[in-house]
Amino acid sequence: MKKSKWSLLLTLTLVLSMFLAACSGGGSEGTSGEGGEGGEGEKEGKKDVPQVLNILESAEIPTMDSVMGTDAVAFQVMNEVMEGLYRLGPDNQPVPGIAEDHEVNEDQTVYTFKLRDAKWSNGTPVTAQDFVYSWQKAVNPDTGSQYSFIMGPVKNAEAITAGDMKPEELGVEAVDEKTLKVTLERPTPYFLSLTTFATYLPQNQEYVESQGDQYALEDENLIYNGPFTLNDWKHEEGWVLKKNPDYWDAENVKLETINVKVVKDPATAVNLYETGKIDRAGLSSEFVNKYKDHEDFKSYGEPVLFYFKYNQTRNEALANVDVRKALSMAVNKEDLVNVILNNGSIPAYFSVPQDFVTNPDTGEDFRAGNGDLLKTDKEKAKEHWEKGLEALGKDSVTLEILGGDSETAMKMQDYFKNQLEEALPGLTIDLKNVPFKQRLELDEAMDYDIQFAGWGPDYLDAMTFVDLWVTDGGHNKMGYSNPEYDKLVKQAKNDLADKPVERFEAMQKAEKILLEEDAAIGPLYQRGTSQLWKPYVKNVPIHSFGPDYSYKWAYIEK
Amino acid sequence: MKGYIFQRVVYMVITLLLIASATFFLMKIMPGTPLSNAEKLSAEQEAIILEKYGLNDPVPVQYIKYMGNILTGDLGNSFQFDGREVTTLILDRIGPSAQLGIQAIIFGSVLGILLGIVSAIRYNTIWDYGATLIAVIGKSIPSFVFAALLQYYVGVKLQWFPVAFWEGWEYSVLPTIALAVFVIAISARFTRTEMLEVMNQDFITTARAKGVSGFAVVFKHGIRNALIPLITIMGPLAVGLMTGTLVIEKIFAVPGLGEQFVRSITTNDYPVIMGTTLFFSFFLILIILIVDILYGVIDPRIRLAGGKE
Repeated sequence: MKKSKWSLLLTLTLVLSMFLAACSGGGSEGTSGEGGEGGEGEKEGKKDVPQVLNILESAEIPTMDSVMGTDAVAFQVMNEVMEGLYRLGPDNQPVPGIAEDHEVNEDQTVYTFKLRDAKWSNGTPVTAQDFVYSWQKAVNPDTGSQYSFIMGPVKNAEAITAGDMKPEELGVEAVDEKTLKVTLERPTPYFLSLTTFATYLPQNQEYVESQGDQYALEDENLIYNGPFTLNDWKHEEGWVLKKNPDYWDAENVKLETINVKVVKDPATAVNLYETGKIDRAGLSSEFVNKYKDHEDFKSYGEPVLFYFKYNQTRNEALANVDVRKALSMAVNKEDLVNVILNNGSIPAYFSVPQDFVTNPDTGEDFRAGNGDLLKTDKEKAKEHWEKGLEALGKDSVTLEILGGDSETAMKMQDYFKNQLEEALPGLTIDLKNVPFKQRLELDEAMDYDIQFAGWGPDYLDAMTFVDLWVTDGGHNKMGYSNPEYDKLVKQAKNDLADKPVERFEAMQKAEKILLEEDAAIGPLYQRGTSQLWKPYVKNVPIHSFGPDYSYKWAYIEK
Repeated sequence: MKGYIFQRVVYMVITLLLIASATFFLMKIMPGTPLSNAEKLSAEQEAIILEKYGLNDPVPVQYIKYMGNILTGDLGNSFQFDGREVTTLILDRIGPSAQLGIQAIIFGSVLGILLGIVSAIRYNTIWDYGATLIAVIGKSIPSFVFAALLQYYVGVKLQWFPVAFWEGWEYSVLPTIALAVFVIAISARFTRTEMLEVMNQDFITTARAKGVSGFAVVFKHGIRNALIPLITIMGPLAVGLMTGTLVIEKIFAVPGLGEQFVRSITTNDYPVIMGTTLFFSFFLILIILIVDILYGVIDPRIRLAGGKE
């Protein structure tokens, strides 16, 4: 009995390895077409190639209730199995989803969406009422949604979450079954991109209520209106996405099955990739050197920015702009990204990441207008430092850097200490490495000198970064205040809301003030990701906010 | 005997309540909140959400509510997995962990005891040195190193067993071996030491003198006595293995409890921390009780309740 099992296993392994060897020989050289046309079905995968994608996620899905989602895994699955008014397209721009089209009134505060004939997987039509229900649920304080703030631009959303108004007073209305009227608090140029976000997904009230507290806990307690459906959801183990035949655009969905497994260890992912079990593996920095020249290697930047926050309220030295400039210009960021991070990250000399938003008129990147600010220059850093010390009347300063306790974070902090102390004579750096939750608490209490922090965008507009640093802003927590900066941000939010180019320029100007004049933060790097992708996986766009990828347009071509 | 067990059960309940209280206050000292999105929220927004979960109440009020719920058997819902009951969560995850733990304990102790016996009866020979060497390596190299080596050489290079995932019997082979290495080492060392001591006792000499065969001396008279100390350490070790091991589960992508427990702490998922802690403690106390009872079975000299019967 045992013997037969062994020999069967051995035979299987042999057959499998032959099969794999054959596959890798015939694989095409093509790359996955990021940012391709998509949806048009340019080159159909050959009929005989099974349209099956095998991928990993790094964690279990924490929730499938769309108004409760907060993390990358939930956003990713929701993006595949559900659809909102719009969805993120191949070029990271919103493309029509459940909404066929929309109209905006003159002062850009009322959006009227025309919905198409779409169905939930239980056969009921997707109606305007489904959006009204889920949006009201998201802002209702009884729901406890941690992303309700993303509904902020919708009229009365904030007042409802604060408990001052009733959920029914939210600025969203089902004019008829297929017409949704949304009233905004103020003109919001990026509103359309928000409608692609998970919190804005529809939910069918009748179905949700029929499931009670079991709703969304298992795949059978859910209905779907997206390109795929969720199946075989085994917690902590994996799940299967199957093509949804009832999806309105099913003819353009080519993948039949996406097998997703939960694997938390990066080395395991690489080993699975090597044995051909999966089609994509993320690479942690220790694997990048090994695979840098591999033909499947891909590396791309994400719009996630890391920087020093200088707390101007605890240590008087940091209230001095020359000291802040010195600290910002003294660290060699090229070495930081190439040697320590080594994962496709790039040095940051900015507060709005590159390849994130473009000028609405010229199409140029946000960076083209402002270029590099606070560029590393050890000479200049030293000059500023000496000037700063003189103004303080001191010849030595001790500062604390508060940062995370992950292995990479601690390596970086050691590097910062070394770089800063070497470049700025008289400076002593104390490192304080704490768990993430504790860092947030110290941030909230403004109990730090310099904090090594980061931010990823919540919507597709430079405002998601610019808004961080207004006086008393939720993320400011470092005592920075510049009336001129506040004025520009306020203008961009209100008066200029319908003048996209001037608004864009106002935000660029704000960035200049923030870095060039005030050095309020010290940009460090923009995060990158390195991965191995099987070359036969085609047309998977990589997104800059919300879900990481879209599989709607993907196909396998061997 | 009955009275003794009843007494032990009462102590067990008291111990669990003390553990629950200590865990509760330790959890409250931990920095942060269970919110997964705290960095994006303002203080006011956080307060609104915490209010919903009753986390704005004074700590003593929360404590009384909490203990009340535990006494009624309600461990509450997880924070990180929205709306999921802690009890279901633990029961879902314990299966794979327990299977791996049991397999590792059985495989490891059988092999370890055999190695130990060989060392003891071939005392100071090449067999003994070889077995000791294996034991020392097994004890000093951490199991995750073995796991990584097994995964790479047996999984990727030889492709004898799956690299990872949890889809059937063959998927449990590599993690079981990785976990068993420590068990082999520790049981081999204990068995050897105890066997050497036992084999020099008068009753063994007597048995030999009576003409009992060498095999029977070792397996009937020797082992039975040598195993008693081993049982003492194997009980808690078994609990540790069966309730999940973080690193092994992570490396082989096993959907077990070990990883869950650690993550519940880093995410401040209070109900899951409490649930897993109580679950773990319960098992540990239970196993200790079983071990105490087993002593009497293996060695009649140890009578628990004064040997009334």
